[in-house]
Parts: sequence; C-alpha cells; structure tokens
Amino acid sequence: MKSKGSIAIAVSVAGVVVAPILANFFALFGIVAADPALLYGGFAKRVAWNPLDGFPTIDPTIGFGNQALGTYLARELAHGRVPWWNPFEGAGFPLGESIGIAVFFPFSLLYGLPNGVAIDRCVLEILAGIGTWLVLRELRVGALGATVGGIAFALNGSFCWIGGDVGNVAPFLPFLILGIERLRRAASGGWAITAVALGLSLLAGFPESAYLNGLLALAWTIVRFIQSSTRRTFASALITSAIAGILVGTPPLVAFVDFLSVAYAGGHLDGGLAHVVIGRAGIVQVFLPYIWGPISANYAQRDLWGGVGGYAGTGLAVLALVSLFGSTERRLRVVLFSWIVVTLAATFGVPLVHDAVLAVPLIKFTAFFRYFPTSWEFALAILAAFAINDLQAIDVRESLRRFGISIGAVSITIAIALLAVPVALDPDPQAITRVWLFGALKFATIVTIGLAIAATLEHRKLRAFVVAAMVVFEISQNYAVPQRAYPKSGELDLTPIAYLRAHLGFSRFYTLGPIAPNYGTYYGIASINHNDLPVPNAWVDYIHEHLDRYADPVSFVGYALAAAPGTSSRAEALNENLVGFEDAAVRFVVTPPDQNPFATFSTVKVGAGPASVTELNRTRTITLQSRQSFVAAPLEAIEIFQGNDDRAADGRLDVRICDAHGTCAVGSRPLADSTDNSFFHIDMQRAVRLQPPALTITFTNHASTHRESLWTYPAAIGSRAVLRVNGIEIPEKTLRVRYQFSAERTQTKRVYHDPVLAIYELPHPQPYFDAPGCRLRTSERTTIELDCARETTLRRRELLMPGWNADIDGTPVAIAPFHGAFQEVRVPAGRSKVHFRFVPPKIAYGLVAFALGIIAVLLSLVIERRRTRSS
Amino acid sequence: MSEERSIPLLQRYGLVVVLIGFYAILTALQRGPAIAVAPQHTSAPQALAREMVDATPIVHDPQQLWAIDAATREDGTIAAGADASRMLHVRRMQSITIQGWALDARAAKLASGVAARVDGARRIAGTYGNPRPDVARFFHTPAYEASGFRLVVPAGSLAPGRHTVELLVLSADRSRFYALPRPLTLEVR
Repeated sequence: MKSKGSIAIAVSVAGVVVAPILANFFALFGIVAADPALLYGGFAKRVAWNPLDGFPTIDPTIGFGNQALGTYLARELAHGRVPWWNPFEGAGFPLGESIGIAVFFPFSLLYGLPNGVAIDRCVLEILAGIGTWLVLRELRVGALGATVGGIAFALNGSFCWIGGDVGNVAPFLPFLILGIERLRRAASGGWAITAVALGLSLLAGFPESAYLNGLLALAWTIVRFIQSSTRRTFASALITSAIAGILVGTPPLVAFVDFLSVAYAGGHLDGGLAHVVIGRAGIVQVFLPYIWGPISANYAQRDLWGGVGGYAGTGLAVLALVSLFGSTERRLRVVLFSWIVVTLAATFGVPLVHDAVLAVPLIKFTAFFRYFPTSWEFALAILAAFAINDLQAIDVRESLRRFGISIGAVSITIAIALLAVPVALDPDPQAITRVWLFGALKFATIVTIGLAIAATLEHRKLRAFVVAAMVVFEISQNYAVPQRAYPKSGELDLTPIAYLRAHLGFSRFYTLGPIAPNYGTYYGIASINHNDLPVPNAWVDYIHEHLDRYADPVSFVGYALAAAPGTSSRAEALNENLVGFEDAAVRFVVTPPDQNPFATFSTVKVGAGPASVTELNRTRTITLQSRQSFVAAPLEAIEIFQGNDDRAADGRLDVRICDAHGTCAVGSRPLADSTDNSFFHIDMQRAVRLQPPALTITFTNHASTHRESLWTYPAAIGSRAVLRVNGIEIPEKTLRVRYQFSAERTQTKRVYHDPVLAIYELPHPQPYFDAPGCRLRTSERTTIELDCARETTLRRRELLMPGWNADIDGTPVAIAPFHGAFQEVRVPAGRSKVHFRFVPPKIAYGLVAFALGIIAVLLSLVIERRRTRSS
Repeated sequence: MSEERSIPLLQRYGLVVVLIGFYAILTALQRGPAIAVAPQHTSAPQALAREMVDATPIVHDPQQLWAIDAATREDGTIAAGADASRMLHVRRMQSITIQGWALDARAAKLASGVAARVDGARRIAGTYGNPRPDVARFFHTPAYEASGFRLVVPAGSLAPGRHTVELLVLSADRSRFYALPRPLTLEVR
C-alpha cells in the first residue's frame, strides 16, 4: 500500500503535467484555430473570429519565425539534412545563424508535427513546470507548494504572451538551478544537469534570453557559494560543469557571432535598446495583466505591448511578499525578491537602478525590458511555493499578520501605479479600456478577497490549500485570456500556394501583403521578402540600392504603413525598381485582392475643411461630375471612401462612370466586402477606355436594408466638381474617389485572383542560373550541369556571404559577387558540373566544442556511476 | 478557548470587509457615463508660431499616439525608416527631415502642432496637418487624416558629435507640449 506521502507526490507531479495540457487544451485539440499562419500568414479565408478582441500573442515571431522557419528546419532535419542556408527567404538567408532558429535544439523537431507550434509550447511548459517542481523539492518544499510553484512557472506570463524563442529557453532555467543545488550538496547528477541545462539554454537559439536567465542563476550561485561549507569543491564543480555546458552550446554562438560581423542587427548593437523603458501603465500591468485590454486590442497602449514580456498577477505578488516572513532559506528569499524588484525597476526606468543594471556587461545590447520577465517569474514561483509551505506551519494570528501586510502593500503599489497613469483617471473614449480596466480590478479584488478569507482559516492545511487554489485559479484565468483570442475556425487559401509551386521554379515572388514572409519558406516557395534578424548587410544594401530605398531592413514585408510624404510606398518602390526586382529573379508579385500595384490612378481633388457623410440608400443616387486628367489606358476599377455603419450596410454598391462621349464603365460589389470608413474597391465589369477629362460617376445602393454612407469633402478650389444627391446639387462638395487604370505600360499581367489575393507576373524576370552561350541542366539550386561553347561566367542569383564555396567537377573555384549581392563563377568551355555549398565559416570549431562538451557530460555520468558503485 | 479564537472579529475579517467594500465601489464606478469622441475637421498643414514654440511648457506623457515613419537626409538617402530609434548619422552640412504622425491621445483629438527640442534646449517648429489617410483609416476617425507632421533639423545647425532630438506634440488646447519618449539620437560628423 502506498503511503500518503507518495500519493501526494504523484498527485503533485500529475498536477504540474496536466495544468499546461488543460491550459492549452483548445489549441492542442483543434477546438480553436491555433495555427499562427491564420493570423500572420495573410492568406486566411473564412476566418470565424472569437468575440474577444486582441491577439493570442504579443509577438508575431511565433508565426513568421518559429512556425514558418522552424517547420522548414524540422522538415530538413527529419530528412537528415542540416539546413544551414534557407534559399526561400530574401535572396537566401543563413538559417542556422539566425536568432530563434535552433538547429541543434532537439525540441525544434516538434515544429514538424501537425499543430507543432501548440505541441512544442505545451511540451516546453510541462518541462518548465517539472524543472521548477524538482528545484522546490530539492529545497524541501512540500508537495502543495511545489505544485503551485511548478504550475506558476509552467504557465508563466512569458509563455502566455510570447512563447516561441523565449519559451525555448525558459525550461532550462529551473534545470540549471536544480543542477546548482545538487552541486552544492554534492548530490548525484548535479554536474551533468548543470552542463546539459546550460548547453540547452544556449542551443535553444535565443542567447539574449539565455543570458538574462543566466544572470539570475549567477545570483543564486553567489548566495549558495556564500552559504557553502565546501566552497572550493562547489566552485570547481560548478565552473567545470559550466564550461562543459558552454561547450555544448557553442555551435549556435559561433555561427551567430560570425554572422553578426557581416549583418545588420537592428537596435541591438548600437545601444538603442538601452534607452527603452516601459511606461507607467506597464507597472499596473505587472499585477493586472489585462487592465488595458486583451493583447494589442487597445491601440492606445500599442507601445506597451511592444515592450512588455510577461506578468506576475496579484496572487503571486502577494505570496512573494508573504514569503519574506518565512524563516527558512532567508538569504535566498531576499535575493529572489530583490531580483524581482531590481529587474522591474530597470524595466520601468527607475533612476540609478536602471543605470546600474545597464552597467552589467552586455545588458544594453539586449531587450532586457522584454526578456527579464522569465527570470522574475521564476523567482516569483519559488517565493510563492515557499509562502504556501510556510502557511502549513504558522497559526492564524501570524497568517493574518503576513497576509494583511502583504495584501496592503500590493494594493497600495497597484493604486499608486494606477493613479500615475492618465488613462485611468480620465474616462477613456475607447469602451474596451473601460470594460477591461474595471474587469481586471474586480478580478484582482476577488482573488485578493479569496486570499484574505484563506488567511483567516485556522486549519493550516486547509488554509494553504485555499491559498494555493486561489493562486492557481488566477494563473489559469490570466493564461486563458489570449487563448480566447484564437479564431474559432478558419482555412488557409492554399490554391495560390499550389499555383506558385507549379509555376515559380527557382524564381522568387515578392509580396505586398498576402503570403507574408517567411511563409514562402514554410511552403518551399522562394519569397524575396524577409522578416528576420540579423539581416546580412549585403542583402540590406541590395534592397536599398536596387529594390526599395525606404524599406525597413528588418521587416522587408511589403505591407508597411504608407510612407511619409516625399518617400515611396512599397508599391511605388516596386514600380520604380521593377528591373531590380526582375534582376533578383522575381517572377511574381502577390498583392491583396483589390490592389494592382502596377495600375495608374487618378484621384478626385479634395479641398481643406470639414468632412461629413451623405447617406446612400435604396431611394438615393449620388452623382459626381469631375474633370480628371488620366493616362490613355482602360479604366479597370474605382475606389470610393465610404462608411458602412460599422459593418451594418448590406446589399450592393453599384457604380457607373461615363465620359462626355457617352462611353460608360459599370461595376458592382457587395457591401459586405467593405470596411468601415475606408476606400471600397469596385472592379469594372470590363475595363473600358474613357476619354478625359470630364467624367460622371454615379453611385446607387442596391437591395440594402441598412445604410451605407459616402464621405463628402469640400471641393478643391477650381476643381469644378459637382456633387448631386437625387439630382439636387450639393454646392462645393465632392467625394473622395480614386480611378484605377490598367497597367498596360508595365506589361505585367494578372495571372491569379481570388478573394484573398492576386498574383501578377512580371514581364522579364531574370533566371536563377544564367550562363551566356551555355546549355544548362539543373534540378536543384546548388548543382548545375553546363555545356558551354566557350569559357564564360555562370551567374547564380543567390546571396553571396562568407561560407559559400563552389567547385567545378570537384575542383574548388572562387565565387565572385555580381550586383554586389549575388554569385558568379567562371566556367570552362565544354561540359562541367558546378556544385555550390554553404557552411557557416567557423562552425567546425563549434562542432568540435559541442562534441567535447557531450563527451564531458557522458564521462561525468560514467565516473559518478562508478563512484556510486564503489561506495 | 484557544488563542486563535481570541482574535477580535475586526482584526480577523477587517481586510475581507475592506476588500468587499472596494469591490462594491468599483462596481458603482463602472456604471459611469461613456464619453463620445466628437468628430473633428481637417485643415491645411501649418507651422507653429515661433513664440508659441518657445513659450509653451513641456510635459512628459508616454500615452501619446505618434509614430516616426522616416528620417531622411538632405540628399534624400534614408537615415532611418520605421526603426528610427537607432542612431541617425548625418554629415555636418546636411539637414535631416523627420516625418510621421501624431495625435493628442489625452484629448482624443488632432494635436495643434509639432516641434522638436534639440539637446534639451533649442526648439524647432515643424509643420503639422499633412494628409495621413492610413492613420484615419486605422482609428476609424476621418478627422485624423490631417495628423501628419514634418520637421527639418537645418543643415549646419548642429556641431559635430551626438545630439538628442525630442519630438514635442502640442496639445489640442495649445496649453502644453507633450515630449514623446525615446528621443532620436543624431550623430553629426
């Protein structure tokens, strides 16, 4: 018969394992549509949104990074290939050197599974929970406390809001601490656990987060070193195991550091991140995570969501304070609490503390404000577990004292922080803020009332259990909010993907939105766009010189907001640099369904002054006469700025445009396709060549039951525009109308169109391989057979970077750059076979280090086993 | 009678009562009136008067809504796109133009103008009211169409070295400038 204790342990472990499965249940088992591609791919259709506003994550990297690139990585690894290079992103990207792409990280393989992103997250959360549970048991915390601590870290704010790269690293913080604890006691496995945990933190592919977590481990180590009676033994074991761990984690570090020397790293290397502090609204959010609404639902707080990285919640904060009254592990408790206070103070820019934290080596190159939370969430989980453990040993008087002071302190902190945020004092025009502001405050109050009632209970075990239940309840609710933002259902529009697969060959496509980067990689179709960091300098230069000089170097995504006056939009840059795109082997351009980037437009001029709306219903016709100058090309569409009464308008909007000679073009579109207060695109039934300059455009609202409104503006001086409603002239008013004329001059043609996207084909795309005077035969991007009449140059439109090598029939040959970015080699007359290969330049050192580290870990286990046997 | 039972009721349940009272107050406050945003009007881009730029007090407010789209050098080359928070490099005799959009978020209205403060002292007036239909579309508020701004830091006005440029957004009621967080850093060579 099992003892009560072992049953409690079994239940405790089961709780830690089951909690993440339950928390992710809907996403794991397809009850919601948790595929990030639906949210971030830009090619979803029939998406049924949940009523909750907002997003399931604060970081779309989970889509374009972890899912898109991670799946490619997993697929390649599963086929026994190490994908150092990704030919489907930009003009080729060094995959194994990018942040967040963990070639050597075993959990990367999970991305290859169906629903791999959700499975990966759940597995890592379970691992994080188990690691924390083991640490707490090592610290002699009882089963109840260890369960709460395990669940608290398994479902922490960083997993909940970011996951992805940060989630890859997080589970190894508790295991690193476990190793340190076991080394301190000279217990079995400590050396190997420390080395493997450190190694995996580094192999997880996000050194920024690994470093910040490592700082907490360092603080923990210092406490233990001071307390240790065998300091020399402890220190030597720790140092050697740390060296072994770093050796294990060396390959991505070597590749990454090498890459940085030829790459643009955004704000990371110029110290720009050091100036970032999170606003006061973020302090409240630490305790009340959704006080400003669900993730990114409230645009007024968009900066906040861009900077934060996790939360504590009210219950854990109270318990962290309660833990300070405990008598065991006093130093450790104080250090962990101090860690929380100091890292938060640095995040919120508290003078002196902020500067002191930035003085720590390398911190100023990290987004510490976003990635510190994992470490302070771990500290919170440990302190909460201590507090629950303590509750089982104190009387009710002491319980009331501890909870009274702690709840009071947390409440005052929240109140002061809240009063310092202007939006909390002013009635906010955005209703969403008001609902969530009060909702979050009331929820936190309910949790606190639960804790306060628990504090009054005399039965010690019951008291601890109720406190634990309240805290786990709060954790589960906070975790559930983003989960509810997943769509109920949705589909990916795979027909255009199939079209591109069938027609692209080795060429590339450029997107102005749909099939967002890096989903080309996900499907194995080459997209010249990228959304990645770091970015090879050669590629950034090529983009700015040949493709789009105003493009963002990190997010070459095609759908950036309209450019500032005087600069080009992405579509304008495409038109200005069409030859540059064709030179980079771009054959197709993917656009939103209503956007023809090659068309020319003529816009009705609008004057300054107030705008208003004119209702358009079944009984009304609105007519605008204007004088337009436009190119001699057929009119293919118009766009009218309209409001649909917050999506209420139904029926169709009909439009008829006639020139002075009576030639007319007509179009019609269901108003269900319109967006409120936006341009509404209506294709003509057929493109018609109209004669400038006089045009008469007539709008009618057909078969509607709800109102549609057209925005009216003052007519521009001298525009001679005449606006009429049911034939009655409205003086000096006009509509905001754009006429779209076909793109005959560019010779581009639309080759695919559906309600999600359109695909245009460029007239003169350059081939991926090109060798004048040669016959070429190839079936892959890295090998080509040539039959040349004379010696010539083989051009390969793949980004040239250190690490690329080529050979002709086995003889190494130098690769030269052309256009500053691509590759070319001289090839002899006659038949030859050229092979290209990419390996990160110094990766051999990393692999040797990795092997040494693994050998050291295995040796440590063998030695330990022998010692155990002999003793 | 045990020691625990001797705890006075107020001491034992006082905190619970206070918290329940707080919950009741929250419920009452939540029923307050919602505020509607009045429509506003667009106008032609305007530069602020020199006197106003120099005399208006500055307050810090991270809640304001704004974005920098690009900073361009005099020769048209881009110094920074959306990532304008990084260091901007400019030669001594080049001017730099900063463009973006801004609103007075506290008033939920268009701002009244935009200026810049260089190195915490000298102020430069910008033009405000440039067309930004994308901003209007995003906020579903047509009046925000005139939220674009343009600021020129003149050539030769800065000595070689590093300088900070803070963006100042004039409140809708023209009573104060909001200094926006994350000043730009300019390195003049």
